[in-house]
Amino acid sequence: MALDRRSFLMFVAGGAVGTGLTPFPWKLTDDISIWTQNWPWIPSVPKGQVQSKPSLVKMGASPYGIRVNTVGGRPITAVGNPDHPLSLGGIDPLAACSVQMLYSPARIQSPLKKTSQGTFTAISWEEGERILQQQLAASKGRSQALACISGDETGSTNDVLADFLGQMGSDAFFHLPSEATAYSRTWNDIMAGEGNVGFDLEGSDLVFCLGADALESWGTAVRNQAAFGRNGFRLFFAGPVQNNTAAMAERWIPVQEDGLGHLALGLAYHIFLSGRPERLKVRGLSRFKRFVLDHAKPEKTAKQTGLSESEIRTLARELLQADRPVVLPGSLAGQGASAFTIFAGLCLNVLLDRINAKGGMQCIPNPPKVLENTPNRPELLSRDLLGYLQDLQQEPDRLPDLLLLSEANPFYELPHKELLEGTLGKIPFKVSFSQYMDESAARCDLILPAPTFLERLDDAFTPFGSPKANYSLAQPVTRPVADSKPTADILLGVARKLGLTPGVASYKALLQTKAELLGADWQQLIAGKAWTDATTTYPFSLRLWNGAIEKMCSREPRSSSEYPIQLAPQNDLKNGTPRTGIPPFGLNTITEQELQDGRLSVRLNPKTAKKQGLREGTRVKLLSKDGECQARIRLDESVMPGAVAAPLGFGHTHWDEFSRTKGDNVTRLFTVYTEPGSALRAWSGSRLQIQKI
Amino acid sequence: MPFVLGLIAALIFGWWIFPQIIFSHQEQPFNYSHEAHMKEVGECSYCHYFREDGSFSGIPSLDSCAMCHYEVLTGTPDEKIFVNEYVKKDKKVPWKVYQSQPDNVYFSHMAHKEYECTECHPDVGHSKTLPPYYRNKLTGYSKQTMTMDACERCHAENDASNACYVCHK
Repeated sequence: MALDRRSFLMFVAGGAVGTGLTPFPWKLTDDISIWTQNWPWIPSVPKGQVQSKPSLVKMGASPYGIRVNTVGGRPITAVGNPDHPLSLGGIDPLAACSVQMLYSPARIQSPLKKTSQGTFTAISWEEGERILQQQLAASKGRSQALACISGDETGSTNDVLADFLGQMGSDAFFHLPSEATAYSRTWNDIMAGEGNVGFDLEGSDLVFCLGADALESWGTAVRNQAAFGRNGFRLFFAGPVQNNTAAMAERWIPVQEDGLGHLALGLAYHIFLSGRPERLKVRGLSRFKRFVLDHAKPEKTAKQTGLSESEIRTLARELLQADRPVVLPGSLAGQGASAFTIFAGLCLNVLLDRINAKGGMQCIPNPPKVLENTPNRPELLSRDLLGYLQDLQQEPDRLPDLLLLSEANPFYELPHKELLEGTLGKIPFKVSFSQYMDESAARCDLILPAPTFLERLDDAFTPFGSPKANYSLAQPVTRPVADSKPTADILLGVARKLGLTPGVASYKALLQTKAELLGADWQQLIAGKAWTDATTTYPFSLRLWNGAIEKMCSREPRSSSEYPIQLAPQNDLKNGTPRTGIPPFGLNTITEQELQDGRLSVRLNPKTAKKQGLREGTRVKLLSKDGECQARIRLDESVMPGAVAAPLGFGHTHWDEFSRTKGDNVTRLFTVYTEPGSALRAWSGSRLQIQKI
Repeated sequence: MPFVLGLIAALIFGWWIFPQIIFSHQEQPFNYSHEAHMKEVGECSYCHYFREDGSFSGIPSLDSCAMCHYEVLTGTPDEKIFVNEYVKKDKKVPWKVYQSQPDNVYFSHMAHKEYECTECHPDVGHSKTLPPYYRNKLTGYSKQTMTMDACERCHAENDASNACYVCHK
């Protein structure tokens, strides 16, 4: 049989028919379709036991309880914890990204040492701790040699750090500036109040936010939202931008940030005229009354705030007629508030007799002291970091040899770049205990990475703004993703090697002692239940008057021909915090009102834009006395005339691809001033000029 | 004649050669005797149980096995491998699963608990060795993995719904 063309075609036809009678074509087609489902870049669904583990979110914003869903031991999603009083089942957009942040490309995988070329090289924990010990040994007993900045206000790691510094002979322990630090400076130092200030929003029928973005980022924001949703209190917001809090409020009162304190005094004027405060027994009341009646007359307040006299009078009437009003003074940026604004706002609560009242302002006792050399909480919070840095700039001889940064990113977060570079930047040896390669860790000489809150045991005592004392635990919900060690345990170990007496055997022992002193059940804490205590401390020593107030009030809001626009920073948790960078999930939620084509968008009222000769989309440079940013103009009538709304959280220079090269850092525009009377370094209401580019 | 030759060649390839090409025989990390463990624990559900939430535990976790085998108990070569290479190194055993389903398939053991395990799984309860594992070179799944037509047939025979969403959520 010869193989001719006809035979070949017949063979092929037979083969085709035969193939159709076998599983080959059908199995191959089926398998190819399944093969396409399993390409290596397609994520696969984890398999295993589904569990829900309690934890405590600590990402630079206010801590609260969450639950983390795990599959086969691997964390998958984070959700709110209905059993936790500061979550009430809610979760913010930042905490929702917390599981993903475990695997951030910016995560520091092991201890790192800076080389002489300025790059980092991985080292062992033994070497890292040995270097730390050597540096600390050189600083021991020299009061100016060691400083520490903490980015966490609520954890007991602060107790270990402050105690350690105390034993080393240094008192240079600082928290980064925040609302809590400004409140402590005002309430505890200027007004001689006691304990920590909290707000019972749940019991209130009228919440007046004096600049505080309570439903977005201020204080216990998640619990604030839940309280608003459940209790439906009336909400007023005073500030230069109709932000998310103002959008939900019954009334938005457009006032520039430096006019908020004057608005509060103007309201105090009407409250005094009503006679309500007459029965109060507070030191300095009559002198304060005289001052308010002299200095906060309606026509003057109207001029200072831009509101009409009738608007102010109506607002005061609303406060007087409400059964349980409360005033929340604050700053738009969550940092840099003037003591004057806080003072004036708190005074309204005093005059309305809302101290320790249902739905009012609460005076929460301090946490118990576990370690001997740890100052009490208000004392630590009152310390003025910017003041310390300015002093260092004046007296370079006092510059410490060693700086410890505990989950703090001051090089990104703090204003005044020159001040930072001239002080912190010049400290010879800097150690970071960061989880991520942030702007500050990158400037350090040694990085000893800490576990994230999902990988460690940690705690939080009464975050700022809480309605009552509370204590919660974070516990590991997964094995550490990176080679990290808890900062407190590192320091306790080094302290022993240096011959110090740490006071506790381990960090866990410290937390257990604190829980015991509070009367909290450890097992309940482990189960995600918070310890709470409604006990308040009455501020018998409270005074409404001292000489400082007159001076604080003397800083009049005034426009400047050189810097005519006032900055209204917008703090949105979806854009991350200085401790997290921009979470990858958050990127999808950034709008063109915040960022466009990698350039910051800032919002101006059309009237302001017209006055400045600007149009929608104009590329501009924002200039303040201390820094500059580039941006694109967006016209928006929800910004009051004379203000520019600019989003915080952009302009990172380190971190990862999700955070870098995205806009400019607005904190560079903050202009630091020393507030007369309080001597507090503040920067709310910073002024700018806008130049076309 | 050429037509018949082509037909026979295709049938031989499709029915005999192709199945041998597409699957590769693979070894498990070490042998496991179900028989030996059944003597100790008495029932399958001691290790393969339903959790409180109704989900099925499947292959026991390393921690579960390590409750007994935290150190070498019997001294068999396979147990030594398990203890030394996995338990002591806290490393999950990479068992090759005979009936793993793709991610887009939702299968509830609880919904099928009325049926005998061996109606779907190999009857390994009294075997000293694990069955041979054949891996599909294209899909990566085992030869024994239940396919959709088997699921549909059983559902049809038992008057269970064959709607897409029953298995594909």
